[in-house]
This record gives sequence, structure tokens and C-alpha cells, in this order.
Amino acid sequence: MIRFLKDALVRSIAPALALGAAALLGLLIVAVVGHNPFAVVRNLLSAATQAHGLRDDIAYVLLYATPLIFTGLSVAVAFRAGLFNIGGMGQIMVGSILCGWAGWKLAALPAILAIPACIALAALGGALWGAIAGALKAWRGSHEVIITIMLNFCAIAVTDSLANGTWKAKEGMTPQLPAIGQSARLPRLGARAADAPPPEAGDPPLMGIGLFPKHVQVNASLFLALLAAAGMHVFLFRTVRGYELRAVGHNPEAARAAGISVKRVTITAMAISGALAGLAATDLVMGTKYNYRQDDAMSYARAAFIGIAVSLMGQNHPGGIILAALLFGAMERMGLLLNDVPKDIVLILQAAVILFVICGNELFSRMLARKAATT
Amino acid sequence: MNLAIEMIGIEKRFPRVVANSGASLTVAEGEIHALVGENGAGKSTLMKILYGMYAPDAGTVRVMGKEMKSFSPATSIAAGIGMVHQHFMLVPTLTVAENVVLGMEPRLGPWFDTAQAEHEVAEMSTRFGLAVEPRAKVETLPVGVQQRVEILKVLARGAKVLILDEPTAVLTPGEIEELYATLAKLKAEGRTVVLITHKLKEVKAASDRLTVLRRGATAGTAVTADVTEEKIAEMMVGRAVLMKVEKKSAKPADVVLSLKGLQAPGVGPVTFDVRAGEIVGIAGVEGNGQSELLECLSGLRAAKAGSVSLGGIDLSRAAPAGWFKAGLAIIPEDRQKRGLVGEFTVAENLVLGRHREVKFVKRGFVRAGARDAEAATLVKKFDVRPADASVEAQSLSGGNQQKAIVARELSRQPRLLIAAHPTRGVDIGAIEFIHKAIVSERDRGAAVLLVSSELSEVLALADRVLVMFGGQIAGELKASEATEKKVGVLMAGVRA
Repeated sequence: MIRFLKDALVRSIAPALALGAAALLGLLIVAVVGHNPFAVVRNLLSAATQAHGLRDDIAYVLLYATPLIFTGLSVAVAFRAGLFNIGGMGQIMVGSILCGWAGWKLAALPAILAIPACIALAALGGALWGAIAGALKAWRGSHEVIITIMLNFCAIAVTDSLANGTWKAKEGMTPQLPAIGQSARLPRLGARAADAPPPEAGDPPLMGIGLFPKHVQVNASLFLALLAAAGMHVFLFRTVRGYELRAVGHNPEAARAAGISVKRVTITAMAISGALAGLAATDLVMGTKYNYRQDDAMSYARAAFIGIAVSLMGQNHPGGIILAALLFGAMERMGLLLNDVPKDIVLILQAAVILFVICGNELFSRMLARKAATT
Repeated sequence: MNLAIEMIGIEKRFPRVVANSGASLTVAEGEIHALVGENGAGKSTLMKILYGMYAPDAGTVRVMGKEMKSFSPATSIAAGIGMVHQHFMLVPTLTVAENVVLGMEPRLGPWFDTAQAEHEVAEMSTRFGLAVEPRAKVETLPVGVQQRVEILKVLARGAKVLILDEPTAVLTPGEIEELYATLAKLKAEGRTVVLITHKLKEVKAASDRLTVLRRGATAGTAVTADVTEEKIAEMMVGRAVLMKVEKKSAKPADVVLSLKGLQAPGVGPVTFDVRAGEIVGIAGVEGNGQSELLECLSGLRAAKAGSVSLGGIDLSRAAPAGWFKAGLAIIPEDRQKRGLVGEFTVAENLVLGRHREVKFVKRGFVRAGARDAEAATLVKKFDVRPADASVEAQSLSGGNQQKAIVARELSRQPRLLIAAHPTRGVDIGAIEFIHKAIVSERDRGAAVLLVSSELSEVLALADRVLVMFGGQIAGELKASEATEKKVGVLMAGVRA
């Protein structure tokens, strides 16, 4: 346990320093573009604590962090197997449309069946899309980066034709599926205020956790994300398959020589990675929008790319990924609160964090290597 | 007698380790001095100080009587020190002459003066008796000649003292003889040679005097002619070492491994058998198809023609998992690449390949307790240091990594043990241990195939010797008739 804590502490040194450096850089840029950095920070802090209050901020940060946990885990599990999955976008879209389809078609089922079915289809869609890349890599030797990028475009085309065609909702011109049934909706975390009017039929379901305001869309998929993180930790570090996956990631030659099927591990890892990305659909379709809509899905699926940064910052470790996702969620919230400087500053800040983390990790691991080499 | 090098009371500390402490080395001008010691005894650090790559924390260094004040390769080269590295630093696509003058090219106006460079190199080549063709491209030359080019390169920079780091590691027995002759010529020309090595035979054959390092300190120095190999080994290890492998005569039983006309890119056709209870040694200069053969014999390379079976099971098309199931254990050629996952702990590595055995798995989960217990036993039995299986494998020294691999593979209780260079980079004390372990596997009834570029190792262990040349078996000798000379001839490609 002490060893674990020490390890966690050592691992968080580099990201923490990188964060500090990025913040300094951000303030510097604010100063360069002609604002008083201290005033900006003061305004930001007062904006964060006034208006809707800190409760809102926390709820929003968790809302933004939810897809980032899924996509961060997705990228990380592939990384652990030595693969770079940048096809999270396509995997989310395929997962989402299947999830939306299931929620729509299974509207008659009770929640206890509808919800697991929708979750399963979200995961299955992503897993399928990931496994295609894994299989092409394993059997044909195609590079997974190229394949996953191409599959992103394929996913857009496939979902677009479905949302415009066979599965399209009757009313309107928008490419989208009909709404999912009430029973397939994931409840929001928030509670109804005591003085609020009585609930109406179309209102979103609530979990009733007093800490959260009901108007923020943060929902039960957050718990699914946390569960996925825990599950991934157990899988990677406690199971035989996880052991084989890590062996392939660290040294595929040695893994092959030890009788591990690198091909099978490659396909499995990409399928798991895709499934985790696909699970983000539970937030989008089941917890937020209550249907599949092409333009929503397209913009939401960009979380996959931030997931790469989250995984990097979290050092491919489930616990680290949760923390990193919260950090990126907080940055996003910050962007909405800033009103006296260009919001692009948040993008710069995100980029700076990523750059500093990469450099910091590299420097730090070299330092550790040098220390190890002289013992 | 003038002293070429005096290193007195050298101390060099790194953050968590003392590389040298109380190390001294005195080398007389014009002598060939062997610097011997086990891996990690501090030989390289001491020589890196002399070559200016490290500054010592304490102690004095004098070259030709002049004390070194600052340490950098430039100052050392200026003082007349030259180093021939174990891994050659040559540009393969350039000619010999171009390589030798690299960095100090003769010029004709703005152009490179090829004629002058070739002339200079030819002249040096005759003067030192280092036969090379200045216009030959380095990539076309055999390894032994490339080494001569390295030596010429150092001499061209005016080196009076040459440090040779493990120079025989890549050479055939014939080339080794030529190297000894070269060293003698250098000596006759008044140059001083420091020979870093851990091979005792080499020390006896080539050096005038020797200095032994043990755990960073000088353990002794002697005139080579006055000490036996046993005595030198004892000085290196600090206790008496059994130099010869003790083994009873083999009792070969049924055929376990059988190759029939096996052919794959880079090897074959090869036909031979290995029986239970015997050690078959494959000798040969590296790069003559041994690596390819080893890959065929573990499922890593598919056979193009012919067949191979283990215990009667045909494995010509099998993947590694099939080989292990049939009873293979293999100490791989390249431990970094194939033997270990560096980022895994020693315990995780000690079950690599055995990790699906029933005792290590419970419903898909790793039985960490059983694994760690097994690891602790193996670490203790095979004396892997540090005796802590929870450290990363890459933090272990090369010799201890090798011991961990040997421990893992022998713990499989194999029908067939393939040992590729089982003692490469391993200390004398551990070599003795690994050799004993291999012999006891044979006595237990395993078939053993030993592949080694270390001829003495093959001769010491094998009951039968096969020699590989150009991807094929160039000849077979019984242990009783396999002499270094006979095997050496076959290794050089002369058909038996």
C-alpha cells in the first residue's frame, strides 16, 4: 500500500509540474494580448463562485469529464497493447447509432432490460468498429493509425446514411433517429428543488442527489465511466488476459516467443478500446439527448481526440485518467466562464498542458532511467 | 622501464553505486596489459576515465608521466590514448582509407585528397603489419578486417596507448590468432596495449602482465606467465572456481528432437536428431544460420521445406505455443528482445510463457500469491540479484537477467532444452552454475541443444558437436574427437 502511494505520488509529479507550467504560460499569453492576468484570474474566480454557484461548476465539470473518461480509457487500453487508436470518433458514432436504435426499438421494454440492452449495443458498436482495425492490423499488417482514421470517415458515412434513410425519424428534415423510450433513459444526478413545480411527463428522470442541480445534464453514465475505469484496472493488472495484453504492449517479440498470440491480443485490445469509446454513447444518447442525431453525434465524438490527451496526461492508468478527465472538464468549464478574454485561451491552455506533459514525462522517465542505469 | 599509464587510488561514485574505489592500474610502456574482472567489476568505468569520458572523484591519472588535469576524450586523445570499441564505429559505405582519415581528411584545395589518404593508410598498414586494402569498402570486409581498420583509425590519431574493449567477442578462432599477431607487432613498434577482457585464455595467450579488478577495486596484479588460469579466476571471483564442467558420460535414449531436411530462409537443408539424455552442441561463427535455426525450432520462423518434430509430434507449422506444449524450454539468443519484458517485474517475467499453467490462474485471474511464491523460490535457487522479485527486470544487470531466464526455462521441466549462448555476459561464478544446471537437465533425461559462439563452452558441455557454416551443418564430431583445431577448421568453412 505504501509502495502504491509512493508510486502514485512519483507518477503525478511530472503532470503536476506540467500543469503549473501551462498555467504560467497561459497567464503570460493573457498578458501579451493586452489583458491584466491578475484581473482575469480574479474575474474567473468570482464568475466560478457567483451566478449559479460552485454547485453548477462541479456538475458541469463532471458532465464534461464523463465522455473524456470513456475515451481516455479507450486510448489507454490500446496504448497498453502498443496500439494507437485514434478511431474513437468512429467508434463513438457507431456505438451511438446502435444505442439510439436499441432505445427506440426497445421502448416497450422495462428499464431493467432496456438500459442494459442499450449499454450493450453501445459497447458492441464501438467494439466492432475497433475490432475491424485490430483484425486488419493482425492479419494484413496494416497500420492501425491509418485504418482507424479511415474508419472514422466510414463511420460518418454509414451513420449518416442510416440517420437519413431507413432509421430516420419521420418528422422534420434533420438526420436523426426517433427518441429513445422513457425506460432507456439514464437519470440525471440532480434533485428537484423543494419549491419546484410538479414534474411533467416528458421531464428527464432524476436520481435525486442533493449536491447536484437538476438543470445540468450530468447523469448516471458518469458512474458507468467510473465503473469502466475500475474494471479496466482489474482487467489489466489482475487477469491473465490483461497480463498478456501488457506483455504484447511492452515487448511483442518476447510475448510472441513466450507463446502468446500477438494477433489475438491485437484484435481483443482494439475491440476493448472500441467498446470503451462506444460506451460514451450512454452519456450522449441515454443520458443527455435521448435520441441519436447526426450533428450532435459528430460534435460529441470529437471528445475522442481529447481522450488521447487525457490518456497521455493520466499516463495510461485508470486512476490517472479520471483525474486528467476532470482537469480537462474543468478547463472546458473555465472557457465558458471567461468573458473578458478570447475563449481561445482555453484551447491554448489545453495544448500547452499536452505539450508540457509530453516533455515532462520524457524528461522524467529519462531521469529515472539514468538513475536506474547507475545502480 | 617507463610507465605509460599510472592510475592510482581511483574512485568513481554514481548516485547509488560505487563503480571504482581503490582501483589502481600501472602499465609499462611497450607492454600488453590485460585488465580482467567480472561484469560490473568496474573495468569499463576505469577505462572510460582513462579515455576521458568520466572524471574520477578521487585519485590521480598519469599518462606518459604527465598528470591529467582535465578529463575529456579530446585531452586523452591528445595525450596519446586511443580506444577500439567493442562495437565498431565505422561507416560501412565508405572505403577503408576514407574511414581511417574521417575527421582529419587530407585536402587538395577544397577537395578531399583521395590519393593522399590511400597512400597514408597503405603506409601505416605496412608499418604495423595490419593488412588492409585501402580502397575496399568497409561493408564488404569480414569482421576481423574491420577490426584492423578500427585499430588503424586509432593509430592514425597518434595513439601510443591502445585500449581494446573485448576485441575477440566477434572473431573466429583464426581471426583471433591474427589479432594476437597484430598486438605483438604493435608492441614491437613500441605501442602499449590495454586489453579489456573476461576470457582467461585470451589473457594467457596475449598479455605480458595483468591486473584484476573485483568489485571496483584492484584485487591484484601479476606477470601473466607466473599465474595459471585457475589462479586468475580465483582472483576475479574471490574464491576457487571449478574451471572444468564435471559430467558423467551421456546415456542417450530415444530421439526427442528430429529435423529432416528442414529448410527456411537463411538455413538448411538441415538434418539431425537430438536424443534424450544428451547434449548436442552447435558451434559456428555468428551469422551462419544459427539464429534462423533457433527461430525454426521455437515456432518463430516457418519452415519452407522439410519437417521437424518434438517427441514424435510434428511441429513444422506450429506456433510457439505448440512448441511449449510439446515440451520445449528455450534460453533465447537475445534476452532483451525475446527473453524478457523489461518493464515487467522479475516475478512477472519468471512466469512469462508459463502464465497459463493451472497453478498460476484462477478463473482467468492471475494468482499473484502462487506467482510470487514461485518467483521467490526461483530467485533464491538461481541466486538472482537483487533477491527481490518485485523490481523491474530491466533494472537487473545483464548477468542476472540471464539467470532469471535460465531459472524460468529450467522450471518448465522440459523434454527439450534449447540453450542459445546461455552464459553470454554472465560472470564466471554464474557460468559454473548455469553449466551445472544444463548438465543436470541432461541427466534428468532432457534432450539438450546448445548453440554457442563460445567454442570452449560447446567443447566443455557437448556430447556431440555439430558445426554450422553458411546455414548448413558443415560437420559432426564426437566429443572425444572434437578439438579446438578440428572444429575451428569446420567453422571457417572448410568441408569435413
